[in-house]
Amino acid sequence: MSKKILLIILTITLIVSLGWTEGKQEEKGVIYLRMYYPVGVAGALAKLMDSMVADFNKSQNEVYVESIFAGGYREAMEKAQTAFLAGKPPDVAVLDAPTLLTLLDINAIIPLDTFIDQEGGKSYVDEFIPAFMKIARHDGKIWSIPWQRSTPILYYNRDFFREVGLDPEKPPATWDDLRNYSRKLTKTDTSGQVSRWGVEIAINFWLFKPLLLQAGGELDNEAGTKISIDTPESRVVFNFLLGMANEKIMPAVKQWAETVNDFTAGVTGILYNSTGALTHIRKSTKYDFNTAFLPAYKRRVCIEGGGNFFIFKTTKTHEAAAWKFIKWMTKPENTARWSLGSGYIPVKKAAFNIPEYKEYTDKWPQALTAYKQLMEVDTERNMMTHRVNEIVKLVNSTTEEIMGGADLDATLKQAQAKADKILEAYQ
Amino acid sequence: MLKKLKPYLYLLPALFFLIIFTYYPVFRAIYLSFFKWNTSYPSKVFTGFSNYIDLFKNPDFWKVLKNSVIYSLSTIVISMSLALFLAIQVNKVLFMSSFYKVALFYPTVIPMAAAALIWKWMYIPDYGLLDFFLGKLGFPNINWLNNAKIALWSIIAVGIWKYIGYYMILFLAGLQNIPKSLIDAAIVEGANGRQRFSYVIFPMISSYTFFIFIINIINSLQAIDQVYIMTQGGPANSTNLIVYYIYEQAFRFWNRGIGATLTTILIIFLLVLVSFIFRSIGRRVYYEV
Repeated sequence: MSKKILLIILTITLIVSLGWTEGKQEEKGVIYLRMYYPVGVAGALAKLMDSMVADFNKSQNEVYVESIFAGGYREAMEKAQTAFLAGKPPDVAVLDAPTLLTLLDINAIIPLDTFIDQEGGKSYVDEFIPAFMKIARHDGKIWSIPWQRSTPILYYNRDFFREVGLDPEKPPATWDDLRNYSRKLTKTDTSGQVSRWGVEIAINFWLFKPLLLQAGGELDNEAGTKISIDTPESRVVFNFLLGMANEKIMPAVKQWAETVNDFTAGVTGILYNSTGALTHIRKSTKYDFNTAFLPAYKRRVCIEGGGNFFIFKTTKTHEAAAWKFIKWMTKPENTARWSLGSGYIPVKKAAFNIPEYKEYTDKWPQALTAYKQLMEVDTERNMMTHRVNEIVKLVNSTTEEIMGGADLDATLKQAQAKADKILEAYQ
Repeated sequence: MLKKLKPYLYLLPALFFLIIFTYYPVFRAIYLSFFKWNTSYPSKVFTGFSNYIDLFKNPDFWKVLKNSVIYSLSTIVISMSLALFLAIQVNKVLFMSSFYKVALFYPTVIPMAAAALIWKWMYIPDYGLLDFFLGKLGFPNINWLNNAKIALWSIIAVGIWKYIGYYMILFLAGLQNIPKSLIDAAIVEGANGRQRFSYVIFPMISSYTFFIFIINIINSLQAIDQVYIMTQGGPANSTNLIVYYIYEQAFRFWNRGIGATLTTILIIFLLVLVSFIFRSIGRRVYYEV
């Protein structure tokens, strides 16, 4: 009898103790770091990241980094937050840059100014493309280092431009051009069914914010404590979009990935999307296409986006080791290597002089459009607020409601009230 | 003494897991539902019933609830009646009957995540499989997942398609367990097809029907995979179901307090529902001895 009891107790202890087994132990003298990283499209990019991290590990013998693929941006943030709450945050992570305020709210990350000062302070910061540093700053400190950065750009199908008699070297420069070109590019069959759209703009705050800025509006404030959506400018944007949807030259509601597939399949003539989609589009379309700046309206303006490196609060030695890793990853040759594989914009100016990268941009001048846009056009910050995931969902679903036919005034009013409620702790 | 304790000792391992994975989380959720706990309040603040009041005032919550009720009711009614109909037909079929069984059961063995991906591709507007064939037949294209009025029904269709084969197999087992003599007796007494179904067949399979009804409720309230993969609750929350909403609030938005409140509401709702079902319908079920 007592044997049975013993057996039961042993089984329970065994099961419980399994939970406490540790993963890899730090070897003597080597600092072991865990890095979370997201990539939009798994596979090729994850392999590239792993091989870059392996090269870093080979390049020195003080720090060993384990790269942990964490899904998309949202999943990576969920995992990092959960791990932080459980007391085991990653040492370093690539996360969507606007999550900065959330990471500060939960007190998870460290400022990087001390490290930056060691590298030469301002001169080190100046090595980066200035538009990418905006979103890293908050309260006079720098909290993250740019890594995979992008801007929305315009893709257009030159074959279709030629077919309908448009100049393939003259992409639409204004909203009016965009509408007129789209009318020409749209193909409708005898039953009234659209077989080719003029333009596709996916429902996404990241494409909505530049439109709003172009119309002279504002979305998030500098401090990230308020968004303004119930404004005359947002009505201008929605009326412009609804106009094109009602004319049947643009589909009213399409999701991000669908629009990219539509462009590569020739279902749309013009596409709003990230420069990060360039490599994918280049490899999967048979059409002759080009990239261009976003069309302007009252202002010629765009925004930036993408992921940055953050260092989580751990120990002094781990934080310093994480910085060493980030410094290596953002060397011009390495940021160029990441761009070649992904289509993201190199984050350092010097990367554009790396021979391999020059060779690439000579062959694919489309890749330079985003960089030129950053340098020549006003570039504002990506939408960054506290509780940003909720605000993102709110802006997206408000757009979906309005494009789906809901009453404009009532929907905007309700959205504003919801936004104020979400951010009420910061008023 | 030990003799009396013995059965409890045997229950201990199971109880251990129940406590850790069921009872503790349930009570923890109820406890947390009284706190404001999100990224604006990183350390939790006791606020009484304010989470409940916030939710009841939030139109999104009511929309999610409405979606969940529509989803559950329609999947239950449609998939159960279709499954029963198919089971009766398959039961009559003599030629290639295993082929039909396998064909209808097939969706059950595909993981929901994979099935959702396949359906997402079929639902692609304009050139997806469904729109392609609709176009060939001369129908207008339908934007299956992006139209707020249709998207929920597209999700429901996947839910029905996924489970119908499983329910059909269960119904079939019930039908084949009915003693042939009962049916023969009914025929001798002059009962027609409809009478045979309503007075003999249906009462005889009532324990199966009840079981399928219960797992159907569970399956429909647990629906999250296809929402996560196909629509992420959109467009405009039109396909957001209760479990996905909990996930979204608790993990994506990090609103731990609201997530716990939603969980508590779901638990209470399920307790009331299940006890009601067992008291009202459960008693009328015939279990053969």
